Amino acid sequence: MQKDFILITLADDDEDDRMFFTEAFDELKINTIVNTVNDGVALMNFLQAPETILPNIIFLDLNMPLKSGIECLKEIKSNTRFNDIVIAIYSTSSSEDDIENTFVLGANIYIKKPNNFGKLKEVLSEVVTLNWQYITSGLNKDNFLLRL
Amino acid sequence: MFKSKLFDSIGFIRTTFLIAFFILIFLASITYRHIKELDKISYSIMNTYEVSLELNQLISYIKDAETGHRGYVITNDSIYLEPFIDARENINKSFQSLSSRIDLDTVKQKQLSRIYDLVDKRFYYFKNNFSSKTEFNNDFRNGRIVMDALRKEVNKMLRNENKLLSSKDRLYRYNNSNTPLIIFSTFLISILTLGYGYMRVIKNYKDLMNQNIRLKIFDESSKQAEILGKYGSWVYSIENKTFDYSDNKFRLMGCEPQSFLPNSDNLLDNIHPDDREIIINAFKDIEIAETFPLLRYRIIKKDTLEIRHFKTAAKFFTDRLGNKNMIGTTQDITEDFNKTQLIKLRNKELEQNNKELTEFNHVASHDLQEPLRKIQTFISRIEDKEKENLAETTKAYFEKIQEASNRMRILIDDLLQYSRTNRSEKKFELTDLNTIANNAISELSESIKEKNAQITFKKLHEVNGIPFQLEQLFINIISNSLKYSKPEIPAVIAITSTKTKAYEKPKLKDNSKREYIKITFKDNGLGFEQKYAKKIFLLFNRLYGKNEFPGTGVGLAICKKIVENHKGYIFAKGKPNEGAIFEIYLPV
Repeated sequence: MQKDFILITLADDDEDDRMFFTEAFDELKINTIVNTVNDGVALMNFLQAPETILPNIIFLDLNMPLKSGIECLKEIKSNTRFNDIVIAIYSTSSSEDDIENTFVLGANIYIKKPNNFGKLKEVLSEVVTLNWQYITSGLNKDNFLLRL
Repeated sequence: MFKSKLFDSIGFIRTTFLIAFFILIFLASITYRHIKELDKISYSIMNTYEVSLELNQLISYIKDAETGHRGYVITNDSIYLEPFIDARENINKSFQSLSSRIDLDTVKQKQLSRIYDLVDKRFYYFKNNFSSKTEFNNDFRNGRIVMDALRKEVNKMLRNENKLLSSKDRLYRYNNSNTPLIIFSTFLISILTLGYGYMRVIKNYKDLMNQNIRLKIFDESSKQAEILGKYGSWVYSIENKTFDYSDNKFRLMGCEPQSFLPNSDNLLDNIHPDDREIIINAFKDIEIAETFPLLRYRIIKKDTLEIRHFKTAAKFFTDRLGNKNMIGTTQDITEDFNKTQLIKLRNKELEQNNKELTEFNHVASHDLQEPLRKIQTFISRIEDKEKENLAETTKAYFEKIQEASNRMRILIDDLLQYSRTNRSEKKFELTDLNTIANNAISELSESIKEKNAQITFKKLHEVNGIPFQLEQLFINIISNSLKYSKPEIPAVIAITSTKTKAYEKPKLKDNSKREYIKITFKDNGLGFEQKYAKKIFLLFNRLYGKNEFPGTGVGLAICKKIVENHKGYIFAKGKPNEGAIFEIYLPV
């Protein structure tokens, strides 16, 4: 079953955004299992729970209460168990600082939340269908920020 | 120079007086020698005179004896023998005196002994009883002969004495004929030398007086300067460990001028307890190190107990006597200190305000994006799913909502960009404007195509700048020109650059020779009235209604901001319906 489905986890404190996210995947014809958590602490608890099957891609909002996306990113990257997980930053901000920071910390791609549902679907579909093995081998700051 | 001149003249005076001194010594020795010789001469004259006198006396004694003898012989009365006997005694005394006067001269001694013999011979013929008349006659005649010989001998001796005297006198005169002239002339020279020396002394004295007056004036003005400038000067004798303070130094410390003798023991009395260490350290090992650091410390004024801030600098010097001293100046910098503190505080406040403002600007625009994004996403959801089901009026309203939210999006984006222009790091690098122009054109390719615009540039200069900001500048100005192009003709935008110097362009209000790169954007668009040339760069300022030309009034404000970040200038020239020219001056 795991081979046929892409496991996706979204950590975002905004209810509306979680809804857009799941609805977008619902409409996309890709075999995915989407799981959402409400904040950074919940994400880390989920990842560290022994019964959890680790996701393929984590979409990480930066601005979250209790534990920010940046903190989560650091924790994930410091644990070798999570080495294979692709980290996609999923934020409203497109500030140079945030992009730079997350790139340095080892995130795989940076997505600025689109303001159009159609665009959201496009972006998510692009990220999920990317050949990550190929991308991660040639990490490059120029295509770190996803532009469509 | 003044110093060396003074010391030269002191040397000169010293030499003058030394010369006069030696001349006087010379003069004294000559005079002494002269007097000594005169003394000798007068002694020998006296001697000659005495000898002559004694010789005459001798003759006279003999004559007395003769007379007495004759008297006795004639009368046979013994009363006549008395002078005869006395004469013999007196003659002996005379001879003794004569012999003592001429005892060194052998010639004279011989002469005298001859005279003595003759006297003896004469007395031989003085006999009291004569055996015969013939004997008497013989004796008398012989006595007469001896007497003549004696006279002759005495006269000869007298003549000799006189001759000796005159020869001595001649020799003396010959030797000393020049002496009065020498004495007079040397005396004259020494008088002249002394006179000249005196004049020099007087002149020096006058110079010194003048210098003294000037020094006094200088001293007075430096005292005034000390009071006005709130500083005091001091000299520290390293050997004696004592200070010499100027009056104002005392005043600065809140003391009466010269009210106490400052030394290393009472040095710390007025110093603020927390700053005493600074002074102690500064004075430690100064003798060896011969350096003194610039000090800043606080003191407590003696009279008002007020805390004042002082600054002190000092320098070492060794005086002409070889004493090591330190000369220093201490200034009361309390006002400056307070001002600096105030400025620092204000700066900090300003910095904080500025930071808060940009932070606020950034956060506000950033956080505004969040709900707007959701509104727009929901709009897109409705558009996708429900648009067909809406009534016509609702559909029109819905489109208005869409437009308004789009406009808000642009506004927020522009604001973000504006605040980012302020915030972003300012890394200057040599930037080729040709590359910048190419990047801007490719960024704007869609609207260029849409407007059928032609953008030309040739061999633009290199400038020292922030590349991404310069690109933004080019994009904003070109898109501004594209936006306000005339609809009926294709837009033509020409970009040129030249090198120029500040003083050649009066509008820069900079008379220096600083070099600038002038970049000119010229278009054939709608232009504007010149009176709006400055207004168009203000934030949110627009010359047209937003229905005619959509926009936020941020684009050119960003341009101005960018140019200011580069310490440059931006000007706009326009003529309605002919076009606009944007001139940008960036420092080389």
